[in-house]
Amino acid sequence: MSNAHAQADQHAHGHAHEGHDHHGPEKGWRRWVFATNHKDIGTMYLLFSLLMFFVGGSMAMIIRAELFQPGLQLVDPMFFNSMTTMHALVMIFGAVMPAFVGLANWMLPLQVGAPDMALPRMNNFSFWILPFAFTLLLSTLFVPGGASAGGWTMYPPLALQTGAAFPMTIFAIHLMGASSIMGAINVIVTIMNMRAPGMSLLKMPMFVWGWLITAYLLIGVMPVLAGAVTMLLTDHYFATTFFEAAGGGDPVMYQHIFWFFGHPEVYIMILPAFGIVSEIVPTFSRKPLFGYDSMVYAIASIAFLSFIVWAHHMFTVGMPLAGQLFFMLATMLISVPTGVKVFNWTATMFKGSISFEAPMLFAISFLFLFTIGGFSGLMLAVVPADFQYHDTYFVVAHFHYVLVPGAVFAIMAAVYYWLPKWTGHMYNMTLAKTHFWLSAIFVNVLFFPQHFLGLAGMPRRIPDYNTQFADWNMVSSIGAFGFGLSQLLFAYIIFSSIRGGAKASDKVWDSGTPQGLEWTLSSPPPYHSFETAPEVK
Amino acid sequence: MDEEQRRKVRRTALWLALLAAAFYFGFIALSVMRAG
Repeated sequence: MSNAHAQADQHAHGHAHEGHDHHGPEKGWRRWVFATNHKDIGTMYLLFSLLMFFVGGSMAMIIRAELFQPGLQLVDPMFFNSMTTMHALVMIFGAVMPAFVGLANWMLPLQVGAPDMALPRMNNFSFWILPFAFTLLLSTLFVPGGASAGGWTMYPPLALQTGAAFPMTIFAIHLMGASSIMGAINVIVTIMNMRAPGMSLLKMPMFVWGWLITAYLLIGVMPVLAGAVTMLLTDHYFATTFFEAAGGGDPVMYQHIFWFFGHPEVYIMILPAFGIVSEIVPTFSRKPLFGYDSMVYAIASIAFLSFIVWAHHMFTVGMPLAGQLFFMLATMLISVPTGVKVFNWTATMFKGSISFEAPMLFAISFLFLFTIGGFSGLMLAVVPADFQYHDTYFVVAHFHYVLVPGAVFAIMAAVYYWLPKWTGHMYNMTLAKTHFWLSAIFVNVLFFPQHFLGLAGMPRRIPDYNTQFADWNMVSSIGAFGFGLSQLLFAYIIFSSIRGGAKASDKVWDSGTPQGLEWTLSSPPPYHSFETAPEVK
Repeated sequence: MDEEQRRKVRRTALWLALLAAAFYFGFIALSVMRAG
């Protein structure tokens, strides 16, 4: 990608007359360590996220290997608990969120017609915090007492019993939060201040809308997580008793504060995915997006509602009935704007001229499989039912359906959609479709049986289980091994495309009609693009 | 970026940073008050 950028920039030299000095990218490591170019920073975020996806995925393989059969065969139970905790932290904060930020960095300036993000040096800092934070987090696996093992939610009092890993984990989370907050500020400032003339808000691409709203959520709730873990830290080291009943505090208050962050967090992990699907489905249906305005209002409604449903994660703590009713009804209400979106995506395809390239395959499977995740979420919203499902594998099945064939498939769809634009090379479509089919089949083998396990009563976060749960656990583990191996193909396709391949045209998807300013640029785009703002009609 | 745009960028960024800080300190203050 580095040579392609430099060549494209030399191509641009002959055409741009800005009156100031053009330069190509720096040479060597300095280009990356001191990067301020949104394309370079986007690339680093995406590669970092791919690495973290495999790190978190390896942890999942260890989990599923232990759960393959009843009995304790492979790992110490405490280490198993560390694996479940770290798998979640790595996947959420290291894989999914940085992937979306990487996509934002690459695409937002191109889609709004801006030369770069608004605050390029803060952009660099936002990225480089992450390798440091994750080195710190992963190094806790090697300290006395091992890594944090009380779940990624870090509920006290259990979390306060973590050993040497505790302050390292808290600091790592603070750093990740700071990175996300700065990234979100950059996104909003870019979108609100640097759009090309003529691009009103209701003319922006849906990916831009998805990220604009996600960024506001990040700014609201990442500081709340930081506050919650700060108070955990002071409870542990500075004799405060925010969450300690003996000192007049309340451990349930931690849960309220955590989930006030935690619920919007899951929407932070899905709204950019909605934006991506809204870009891809129209392109490969050769029809404009159905109901653009209602899609924008739906995303905004979902974001607003996400702030008032947090306690559906804690229906079993002993909340008054009025509270349970409110949170149940508010949660069910979210299905309305979500249903609007699913309807609109389907209506976009209706009577369209559909082709099934890899991005479209991932986008369509998102529609089906995310909807399954949504249905199990609706079941969990019903309070008396949730008393049965809470802390069982039914919850695990639900959130993995919305996150894996939901968010992760949307990320993969986006990579397959925009990779030829970034690298200038079309990848092997047969291999990409193979990756899709393997992933789609194995993800269902992996997670669908977990619904049955949850309904049968298998609890979460256990290294060993009753023999009545054995059969579906074995099926799920086989799905996990298949899914994990399939992702090696994804990495191969990406790196092959970076290194070479058939030349991609500017429009890339020649048989489609992709809308958006990014398709007016060459593939790959010049190192510095839109230095003169384009005209948007 | 011209001076006017630079000023707008700085102002927007500062307001958003203030919003983030308000959520951070606000929730801690809320917790202190509830503990009392």
